[in-house]
Order: sequence, then C-alpha cells, then structure tokens
Amino acid sequence: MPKQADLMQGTLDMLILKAVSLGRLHGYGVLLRIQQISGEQLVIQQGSLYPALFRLEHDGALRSEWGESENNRRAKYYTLTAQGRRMLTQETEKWNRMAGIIGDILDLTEVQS
Amino acid sequence: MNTFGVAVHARWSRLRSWLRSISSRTRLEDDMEEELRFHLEARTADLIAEGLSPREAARQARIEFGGIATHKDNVRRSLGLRWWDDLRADLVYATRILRKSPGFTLIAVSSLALAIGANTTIFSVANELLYERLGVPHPEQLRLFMLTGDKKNVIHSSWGMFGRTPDGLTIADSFSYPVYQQLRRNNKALQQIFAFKDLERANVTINGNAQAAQVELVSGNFYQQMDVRPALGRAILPSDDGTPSTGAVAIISDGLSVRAFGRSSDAVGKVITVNMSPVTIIGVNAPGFTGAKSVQVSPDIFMPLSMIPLLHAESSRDGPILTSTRLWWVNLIARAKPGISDEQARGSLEVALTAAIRNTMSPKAGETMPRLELDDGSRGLNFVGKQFAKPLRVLMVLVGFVLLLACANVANLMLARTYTRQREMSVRLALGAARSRILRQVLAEGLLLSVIGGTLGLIFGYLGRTALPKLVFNAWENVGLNVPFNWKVFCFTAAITLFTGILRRSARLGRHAGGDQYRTQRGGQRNLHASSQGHQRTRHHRLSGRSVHSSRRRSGSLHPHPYQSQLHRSRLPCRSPSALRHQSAVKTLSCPAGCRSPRQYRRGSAFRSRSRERYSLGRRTDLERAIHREHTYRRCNLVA
Repeated sequence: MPKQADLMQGTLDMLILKAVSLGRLHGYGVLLRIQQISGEQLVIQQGSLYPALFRLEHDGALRSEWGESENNRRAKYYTLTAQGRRMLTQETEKWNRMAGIIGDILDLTEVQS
Repeated sequence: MNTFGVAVHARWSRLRSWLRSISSRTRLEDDMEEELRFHLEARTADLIAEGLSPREAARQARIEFGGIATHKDNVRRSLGLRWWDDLRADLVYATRILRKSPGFTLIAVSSLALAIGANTTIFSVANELLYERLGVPHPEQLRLFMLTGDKKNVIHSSWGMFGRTPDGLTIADSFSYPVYQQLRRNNKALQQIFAFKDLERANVTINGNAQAAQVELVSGNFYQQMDVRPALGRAILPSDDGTPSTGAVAIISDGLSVRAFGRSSDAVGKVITVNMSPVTIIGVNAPGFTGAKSVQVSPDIFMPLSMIPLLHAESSRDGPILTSTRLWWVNLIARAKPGISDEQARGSLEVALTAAIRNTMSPKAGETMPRLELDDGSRGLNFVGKQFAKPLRVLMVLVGFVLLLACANVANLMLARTYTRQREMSVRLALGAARSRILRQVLAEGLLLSVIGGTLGLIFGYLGRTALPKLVFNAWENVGLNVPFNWKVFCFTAAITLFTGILRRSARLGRHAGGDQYRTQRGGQRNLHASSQGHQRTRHHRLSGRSVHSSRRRSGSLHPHPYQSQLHRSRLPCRSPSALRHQSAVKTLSCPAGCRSPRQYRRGSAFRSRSRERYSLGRRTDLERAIHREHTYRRCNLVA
C-alpha cells in the first residue's frame, strides 16, 4: 500500500502547484480551483490540503503572504516561486512519461489478449 | 537547473524554513490556526449560499474538513517539527522526573562531575608531562645523547643531570665541549649535532630593572637544526657562536617579551645585561617554542654557547669551560637521518666518541669508556617528566579506578531506577506508547543527566588543571608547569563515563519497558506477595487486596486512585490470574484520565482513543483490548 500512498501524495502536490501557477490563491481557493478544473471529478480531503501546502512552502516551491480575501477577511495567499515552477515542469514531464509508458503497456496487453 | 540543483535548493530552503518555524513558533501556530479557521468559515459561507442553515453548514464544513488536530499535526510533521516537539516534551518531562527525585539526581550528577573532573585533571597533567612533544617541526626525529658508565668511568667531573639505571650504571646527559666538537665533525650517522645548556638562573637587567631569568645557551646551528624561526627579528646563527666570550646577542622568549616589553616589537635591538654583560636582543621567539629543556616552560633568554665564559664562573681545577677536557657539561641533541637505524647511528657515534675521548683525555689504566645511548629527544631534556613518570603512572591508575567506580556507581543507580520505574513503563505501554517512543524518552532523561554531570565535570576539570600545578609548587616559585586544558582528554573521560553509566542503562530500561509487559506486571505482584505474607487472609481476600495494593504502587507518580476503594468494596470475583492482571491494569489506567465514576471512565476512554489517534501511537495491544473488555464487564456490574 505505501507505494500507492506515495503516488497520491505526489499527485496532490502536482495539482496544487498547477493550481497556484495560474495565479495567487489562498488554501480554500486552491481546493476550489482544483475541483473546478477537474470538473468536480476529483474529491480532495480538505484538511489534507494544508500539510501539502505547508510542505511545498517548506521546500521553497511556494511563497506565502497574508492578504485580504474577497469578503475582507485576512487570508494566507500562496504564489509559485521560480523553484516551484521548475518543480512543476519536472513533475509534469515525469507524469507524462510515466502515463505514456503505462498507457503503451496497457494498449499492448489488450492487443495481445 | 537540473534535478540535482533543484534538490539542493529544496534542502536549503527546508533548512531556512525549519529555523524560521523554530524561532517563531507561536506565530506559526497562530497563523496555522487562523488559516484553517478561514478555510472553515469560507466553506461554511459557501454552504450557506447553497441553502443550508448556518448551524448545519458549519457542521457540514467541519465534517468535510476532517480532524483539525490531526491535520495540524501533519502540518507540523511536514515542516519537520515533529521530532523537535518530541525532544522538547521529552526534556521537559525528564526535568520534572529528575526534580522529583533530588537525591538520585544529586548523587548521579556529582559522581559524574567528580569522575570526569578528576580524571580530566590528572590525565591532562600526565599527558602534558609524559607525552607532549616539543613545539618544533617533526619532534619525533630528535635524539638526545646520553652516557652510561660504571664506577671506573673515565669521566670524573660533570655538571648536569645524572642518575642510575636499574642495573647499577650511572647515566648522565653531559659532554665536554671539545668532545662535542669532535663528535660533530666526525658524525655521519645523524644530521648535524647541536648543543645546548640551561643555566639555572641569571641576573638580568631590562630597562634598569633587575630580575632573575632562566637562560639557555645554544650552539650556532641550534635554530637551524630545530627548524624554527623567531616570531620577530632573526635567529641565532653559526656566526654568532664564534670565539669564546663573543656573540653578545640574545633571543627572548614570548613570555619575557610580554612581561618586560608588553610584546612590543621595540624589544628587538634593545640592550639588556645578563650577569653584568651587555647583550643585544636580536629576536623574540614564537609562543609555542620552549627550547630544548622541557615542553612545559620556556627559558627566558637564549644566547650563543660562546657566551658561557661570561655567565658561568670558571673553576680553577677544570680550566676555561669551552676548552676544558675534564668538565663534561653540554647537552647534545640531533635529528635522525632517514634510512639509518638508531642502533647503526649509535654504533658509529660510539666509535667517534671513544676516539674523541682518547684524543682529549688520557685515560688511566683500568678506567672504562662510557657507552653512548641515543634517547628519545622529542620531549627535550624532560627532567620533570622523567622525575615524575612513576608517581604519575601510579596516580593515573588510581584515578582510572575512580573512573571505574564512578561508572559502576552511576550504573547501579540507573539499574535501581530501572526496577522502580518498570511499572511506569508498563503503564505507558498499556496506554499504547510505541517501544521506540519510550526508549527515546528514557534516553532523553539519561542525556539530561549526562549534560548536567558533564558540564559540572568540565568546570571541575578546568579549575583542577589550573589549581593542581599551584598545589605542587611553592608559592614563591615560578610555576614551571603550564597545563593547557586538554579537550581530547575531557571528551574521552566524559564519553566513557556517560556511555557506560547512563546511556547503556537507559537503553536497558527502554528494552525492559519494551519487553514482556505481562512479566513486569507479575513481577510487581510477586513483590507484593512477599510483603503481604504475614497477613493471614483467605485466598479471595489476598488476591483482591494484593491487586489493589499493587495498582496503587504501580501508579507511582500518578495520583492515588479514588475509584480503587469502590472496586475493592465491590468484591469483584477474581476468576483467574489473568483477570486479576487486567483488573489491576485497568485501575492503573483509569488514573491518568482521572475517572471517578463509570461515566468519567467513559470520558477517559474516549480521551485515550483520541490521543492514540492524535499521536498515531499504533495499534491497540492485546492487553489493552482485554482491559477494555474487562472494564465494560465491570461497569455493567457496578451500574447494576
């Protein structure tokens, strides 16, 4: 099971980076944007978003600052750093390569069977 | 940037972020709290907009969010704060435990401190006297010339150190000047031989102030062969060491330069008088250089050997000292040549020595030639070291025993503690603590004890190494022994004491805790069985009495349990030893939750399962499950 968990964690990080790369967001905004992009198909456990956000900031991929939200509340906004952008590119490449390989394998099996 | 670059960058920013989190922890917690609250409020607002009632919306938002405490813990973990928090909690708890038993703490800490302090002092002094080498490049190459001879020795008049070898021969360190010159000319086995002589005391006038100073006279090639150069000015050269009574130049030690000139560079060129003769200072030695006499203390003034007729009164019997063939007084030293063994060199030089003696003296019939020895010269003449070698070795063995004793003492203390605290450990295990977690807690305690003991030991050792030489010498003497604080020695003694005394015991305590908890519980009961043997009770009574008693003892530092008496009165049937075990464990467990009634117990149980989740303490043990079963059963009984 740990393999799968790792993968899931990796994907969540990637989704967060992608969401933030489109513009400055607070934590709740990240959640909404991911759900919106995915066409409400992805269910994210809301609380687990924050450990991931803090970890990405810890790694230097995100930068945070306090700002004013739409309804005039103090909220913490995240922006992507240069480091985060590099990480996103890398992760995307890795993901595409992986998806390609696995897709090929699955196609092959179907043809043979 | 490549993958490697990204990884390095990430590591760097992780470190920065970690330090920031550590330094402004309160702000981090506040920010986290506020960020999560904002999320919940925003979600609630959205849900209200979707048509839910405010109350229902808030509830729904909380459910969707999940356990706030768990998520917060995960955030802390993702910032790398978990181990830091654990460590802090462990240390705080350890402080409390140690403060609770001041007697134990005092004895353990003072044994550690004294052992480390005393050993550091003695080992530093011994190391300084026995093993420290001259502050010159490659001191291990130096060979000191010594002579052994029997009673019919050809040498009759000598000025220097001499003693006896175990087989009854005399051993001396001095040569006559003409013999030195011939040896030096005919030497092929060693590098150039150089000579020195320490005058015990000379009267020196500096800037009109008279003072006593130690003078070392050196041959012209001394600095060149020692391979050192003065910190200021120039060295003594072969040209300074010319015809007798010439070469009125001096190099002063760093110590004298500080005392007399405040380490000013003006010292070079000043004229001072040494035993009434005017002498020009040509240089100042570097602080680490101590000449050839000893490693610990440097003579104040270095002058060419050619000056000796002016400093030392000539004896009418021996004639002028530099040409006297009777008086043997000068110390010789040389560096070994690579590729030539000491025995080869010794043989070749002994031939030269015998020839030189025959050339300069006329041995009477029956007089024997001395035998040349090449001694280790890396510590110079090392008079003090040779004198104190034996007593110091004895002292070292003694303090070695003190060290051993202290280790045993601390180890025993820790062992005794292991047994008194087994109950606490089994409670912790029963509450679901992981074995590694308990081990870490115990190690933190040992570590705290070690740090306190070690710090005190450091202070003792530091003071001791300054005080000890002062205790050995008279107050009016210039203390000839300067023992620098030896970090290596301190680390060695500290490591040995702490490792054997504390850490190993702690590990043992932890291992015990991690072992068979059933055995531990039974062990507690066995003790109690012995203590209650005097009471004639029925089996039923004894069993229940024992269990109540044991649980009270097992609670140890925890509060005495009010619920126990109720249980005792209820006279629960103790059907089997295992039921008894569970029963007593249950009572012990109830304490931290502070339950006084079944309702309160329920709360406590909820608290425990919450905390288990929160700290991810792992799966329930069989014992816990059994406890739970037993408790539910009894609760029904009590309520009924």
